[in-house]
Amino acid sequence: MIRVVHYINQFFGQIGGEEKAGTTPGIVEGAVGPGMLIDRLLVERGRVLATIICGDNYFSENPEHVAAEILPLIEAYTPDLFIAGPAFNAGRYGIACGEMCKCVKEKLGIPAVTGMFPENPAVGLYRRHVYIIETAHTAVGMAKAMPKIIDLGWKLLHHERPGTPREAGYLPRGIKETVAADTLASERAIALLLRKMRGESIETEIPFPELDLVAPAPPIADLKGATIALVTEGGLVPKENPDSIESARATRWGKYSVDELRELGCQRFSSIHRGFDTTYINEDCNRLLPVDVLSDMERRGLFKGIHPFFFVTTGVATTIDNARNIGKGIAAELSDAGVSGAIVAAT
Amino acid sequence: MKLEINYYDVKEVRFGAATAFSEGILLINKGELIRLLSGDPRIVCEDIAFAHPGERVRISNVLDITEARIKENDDHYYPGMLGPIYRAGEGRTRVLRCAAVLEIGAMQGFYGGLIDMAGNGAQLTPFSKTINICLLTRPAPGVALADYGHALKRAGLAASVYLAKAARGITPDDVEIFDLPRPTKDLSALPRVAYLFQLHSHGESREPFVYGENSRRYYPTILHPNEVLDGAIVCGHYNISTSIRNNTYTILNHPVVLGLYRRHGREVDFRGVVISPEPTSLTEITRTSMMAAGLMKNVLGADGVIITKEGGGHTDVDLMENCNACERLGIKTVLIDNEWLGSDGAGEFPLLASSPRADAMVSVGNVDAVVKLSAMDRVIGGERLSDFGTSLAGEMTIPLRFIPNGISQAGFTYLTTEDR
Repeated sequence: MIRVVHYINQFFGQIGGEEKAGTTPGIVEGAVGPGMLIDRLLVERGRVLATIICGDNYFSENPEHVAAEILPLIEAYTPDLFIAGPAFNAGRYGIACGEMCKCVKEKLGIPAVTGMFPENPAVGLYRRHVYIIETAHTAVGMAKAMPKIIDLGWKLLHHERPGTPREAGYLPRGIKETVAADTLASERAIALLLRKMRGESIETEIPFPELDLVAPAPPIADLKGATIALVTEGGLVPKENPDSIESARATRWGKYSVDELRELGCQRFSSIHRGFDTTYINEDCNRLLPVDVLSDMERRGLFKGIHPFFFVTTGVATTIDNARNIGKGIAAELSDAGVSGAIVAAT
Repeated sequence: MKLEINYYDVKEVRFGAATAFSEGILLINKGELIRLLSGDPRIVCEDIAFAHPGERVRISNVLDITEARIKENDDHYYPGMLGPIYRAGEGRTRVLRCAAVLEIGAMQGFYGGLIDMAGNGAQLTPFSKTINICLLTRPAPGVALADYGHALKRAGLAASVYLAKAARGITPDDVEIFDLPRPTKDLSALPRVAYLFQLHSHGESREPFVYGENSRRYYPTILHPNEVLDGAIVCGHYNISTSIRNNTYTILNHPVVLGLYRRHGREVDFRGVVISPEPTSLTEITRTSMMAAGLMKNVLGADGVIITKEGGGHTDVDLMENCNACERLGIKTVLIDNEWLGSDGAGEFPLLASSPRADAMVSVGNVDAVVKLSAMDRVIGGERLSDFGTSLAGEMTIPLRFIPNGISQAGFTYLTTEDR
């Protein structure tokens, strides 16, 4: 007999509509509203022990804080499964359901499932963290969604593989598994081309990504007063590689002395980068980081000075998440040091 | 242009007093083959070994894979590489099918692959189903990386031709004719399709050879599909991961070329192949993509093109620029590419470059995916693999990129990715 705790908002908790959206979290014994359906579907297999009811405004104004407030109420019931919503297309309710499921899963280690309409803005925020069953955009879809929520929860609870989004009805989590198809890739490509040429509907296996474009900083207004830093993904590190920067798929970055680079060059530094032939850079480091030319320009007063450290990682097959963290780390140091501009040498 | 391929099915390989082929059994005179490969001072051939499908054998440090092949009348193959320069794709070619010749060796800077002949790993590569004849080599002391690469390439190709000689004068098990009669009948009702074959071209040890010349020496060039299937293009670039380059076996049995060929005259009008290098600067990429698309549209008259890339993330740029250039001319494109999603498959950007025009792509899997391999009874090719720390005996997990055709950018794999 599995123990379920259910989360719903003030509306489904029969407290009231928008005027009650500020309701603070409360807990009620047993099932309320859609929880009745959970009980009916579980039959002998389990039941809803308690229902958390919280106003959407109260929750969405400070989701992490409110989730932390609610967590002990849930924990007290030692549930096997946590269900939130479904929230359909309600944005604030979606955030509450997503955040609660995420916290229950991560902090209490209890499987958690919710449901939403694919265009609910909370889907993008939480689909990577929790399973979200696809629903219709209003509560009309309740009867269809709840059995899927329970089936998926049952599988998670029993450590069974949930299957594909299409099989189990959940929204893709942004995770792709490498699996065998029925036909060779070349045959799929030919079939896809013929469909495309006939003007039939086609489905790509690699969709166009949502891009995260960064607007360039404005030009340096006063170059003569500027401090310039050198940054590279070319893997140029002291020969003992003191920070153990990976030669590919980097997770780390390092900073090293520009003076040493200028004075000792390749006696002291070499490139560990795995994505190109490093022979020429290892003959003369200036081919990667032009510290010779920059030092000359500095002497001639074209700018104020070179930042005393250069920053290094390796850019080859680095995941976006790691690259973003590396970039943020380096940018924070440069910003704290009052650097006005950086030359980022790519390979 | 007509090519006749005579296939001889190898069912078993053994060592014998003389190299010979009869009734599916290939006997190899080991001493003679080692002597043949030992003529080059840049390389040491230590041993020859073989493994049959289903044996609990792990083969490591696989640098290239080819087939035993020879021209029926001229005793040579691989024009410009091993043989003299002649046009590939004509006449009669003898192939020992169901067997593969594996160049094996290790040197810092070369990235070898791993083939399991049984267990879970065998499901991930077509080379668990071939009888694998392994040339176990090492570099001569003090030899440079590129020189060892060239010597190993010569050794692999020489062994390929040497072994194919054994089937002389025997009736083949199968004959296939490759011919694109043009025009023998009106194909105007069929979609006109072509194949754009990108070749890695990032410097010495990082690019394949076309008629013996490095791919970077080429501009986009039309090849007859027979030339691709008959030894004009050879893999020789061991300085990139195994699964992100096309091994010679895959080129000789190119699944896109064969797939289009087998539909020619029925479902498609196969117009031909354009090979194109993958330069390192954007200006050059813009130029080659413009020229490749122009050949496709204005010379081959293609209305649809399959484009494949070779190499790491950099070459996604070539793929997308080729796609853009073709689509701008009104040619419909389908691209084959691998994804880069991290070991958990959760990466946000599957490719290093993308284009809204690339709306029809086929995925050959996540290069970073990690796979479990069962324990094997014996390892051929050394207990250590370049760029992989763990010992190779026993059960192990390994990134897919180490398994030849685990990822196959030419499309010679069943693997793909699926949402979770």
